[in-house]
Order: sequence, then C-alpha cells, then structure tokens
Amino acid sequence: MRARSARIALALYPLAYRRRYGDEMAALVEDSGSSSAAVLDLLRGAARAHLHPEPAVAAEVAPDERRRLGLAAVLLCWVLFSFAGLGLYKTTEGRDFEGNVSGGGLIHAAHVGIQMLALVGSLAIVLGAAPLVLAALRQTRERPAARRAALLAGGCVAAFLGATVALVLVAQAKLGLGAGLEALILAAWTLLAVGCGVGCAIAARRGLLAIDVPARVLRLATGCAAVVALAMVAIVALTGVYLVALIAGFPDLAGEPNGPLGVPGARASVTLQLVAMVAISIPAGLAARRAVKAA
Amino acid sequence: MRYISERSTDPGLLVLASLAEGPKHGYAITQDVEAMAGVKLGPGSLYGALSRLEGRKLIEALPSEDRRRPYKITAAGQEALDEQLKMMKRVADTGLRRLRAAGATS
Repeated sequence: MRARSARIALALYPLAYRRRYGDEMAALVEDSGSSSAAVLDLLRGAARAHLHPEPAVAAEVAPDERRRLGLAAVLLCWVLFSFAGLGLYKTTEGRDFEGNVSGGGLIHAAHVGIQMLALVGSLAIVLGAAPLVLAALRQTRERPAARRAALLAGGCVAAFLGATVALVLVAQAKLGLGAGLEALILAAWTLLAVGCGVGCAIAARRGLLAIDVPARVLRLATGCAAVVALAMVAIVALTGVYLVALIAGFPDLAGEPNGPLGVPGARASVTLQLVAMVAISIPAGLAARRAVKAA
Repeated sequence: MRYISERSTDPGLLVLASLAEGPKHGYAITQDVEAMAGVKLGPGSLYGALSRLEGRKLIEALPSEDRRRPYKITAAGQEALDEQLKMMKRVADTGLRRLRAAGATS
C-alpha cells in the first residue's frame, strides 16, 4: 500500500523531474523502503518542485512539450473549475433565488456575467481541443500511446454518459427513494463525473505528448487556453461580486440551506465554491502563461 | 543553539559534506548522512537538494549503467562547503566561548 503511495507521490513530480531523477528516486525508495514519512517527504518535494522548479532541471522538457503540458493543465483546471461552477449553479437555483436574481441589480449582472463567461470558456475549450482530438484520432494506428490515450478518454466519456443516463432514468422512474438516498445518488454521480473529467484530462495530456501537431493548431489551442484562463479569473471576480451582493442585499436568501445536498447555507456554499475557484484558477493562469511563453 | 541545529540539518550542506568523502549515489548519501548527523534524509528532500546543488554546479552526476547514479562534489562545491563549515565553526566556537564565560560568571 505504501509502495503504491510512494509511486503515486513520484508520479506527482513535474515531468522534467521525473525524466531527470525519476529512476534514481524509484531506486532509492526501493532501497530505503516506502515509510509514511518517506511518502510525505515525496509529496512535499513534489509540491516544491512545482512551485520552485530548478531551471537546469526544467530544461529536460523541450519548449514545445512545455506548451503541450500547459495546455493539458489548463484543460484539467477547467474540468475541476466546472464542478465548482456546478456547485454554484445548484446553490443559486430554485424559485426564491431566480425570483430575486432576475429582479436586476448587481447580483443579476454578476449572475448573467458568470453564465456568459462559462459559455465563452466552454466554447474556447471546444475550439482549442477539437483539432487536437482529430489529430490524435488520426494517429491512433501508428502511435500506441495515442491509441491508449484515446481509449482512456473514450472509456471516461462512456462511463460519464452511462452514469448520466442511469441518473436520468432513476429520476424519471419516481421510485420514491427518499431525499437521503437521492442525495447520495447525486453525490455518487458527481464524484464519478469528476473522475471521468480528470481521466479525460489525463488522456489529453498523454495524447498531446504522443502525437504530431501542426504548429498552427498548437497556436490556436494556446490562444484558446489563454481565453479559458482569463474567463476563469473573470468568473472568480464575478462570483465574488455575486457573494457580496447576496450577503448585502438578500441576507435571508443567503442563510437558506440551498447548498449542494441542502446541507450548507447559500452563503457558506458560494464562499466554498469561490475558494475552490480561486485555488483552481491560479494554477490555470500559471499553466496558460507557461504555454504562451513556450510558444 | 536551536538555530545552529537547524543550519546543521540543511539537506544541501549535509549532501555536500557526504560527497566530500567521495562520489556516492542516493541511498549511500542517505546512509552516510544518517551516520554522520543522525538525520534521515527523505527521498524528496534528498533529490530536492541534489537538483539545487546540481543547478548551482556544486555537484555533478557521474555516468552510471544502472538506476543508481552517483554524484561527486565539484571544485566550486568544495569551496562552498569549506566556506560554510568555517563560518559555522566560527559561530560554534564563539557561541561555546560565550556560554563558558557566562557559566563562569553566574
């Protein structure tokens, strides 16, 4: 179990570190044993390597690869960001919210702005990713790594679609499962959806490193990644505005237990989502910057 | 006292001190450091230190046929280690002298 944890911790190091020191570190872990302290030390080391990369080690990854890694990181961040956004959507749905929000004012403007930016970000993802997906699919025959990446992505999409169809069927069948069980099913679907999204982002990363991509396609994807990162930052700002407007203008609504699964109040729920969005948008911005700089 | 103790467990310094004896690979460095300073260097700390030292050209990797690549200290590394150890010795000597003086007067 600990050996597996150590392998996972090693896999969390940046690619440049794994290329330069991966084999040696794996040999050291084999020789000295993978205690809990060693796993923690590896996790700390991986975080440090991401935050303060050594320029000499970073050179192990070519600029073109760095750009591709940056693009994959932006995609992963967008997937995670979308789930924070889904939490915001679930918190701000319901007649009370819609009635107050549609009344105009700052909260309405922020709500509309968030939806518009989410649409812009999603379109940028599709525009940037579609030519890359097509290129990967064309190269699956001659490149086993691209084939494996396509199979992983396909499996994740199939699992997500299967779970969603099952969820819709359960909802339509009106089985009278009770609020608790329904909430559990929704939570399970959400976890599975997050897993599928992360799986797709991992597949995209592996595929991007395995295929030949025309320079203009990479340029387009890099531009789209920059748009996605900017959209995320703007959504964070507007979510902050929404939260302030909610607390100041609608204190009763802010206290309603409208969060996911009806557990937290709307104020706490939006605050948590805002924190998650900030935490995700920072690495997204850094990854997009890395991709643009490597271009 | 505490400050000196923290300085003496700086992974970079410990690795340099270990390599001053001759080239070693990762596991041999951790074993040597444990025997020398009573500190166990974790794999993340060790390779974090090795990457920093290599980046500053204080150590260099030697060719190896298996996964256990040895490292050796460079001339710049020897100079940096010498300078740091002399500074630490000055601090330790002065501190000990002052402690003895304080003990004699109290």
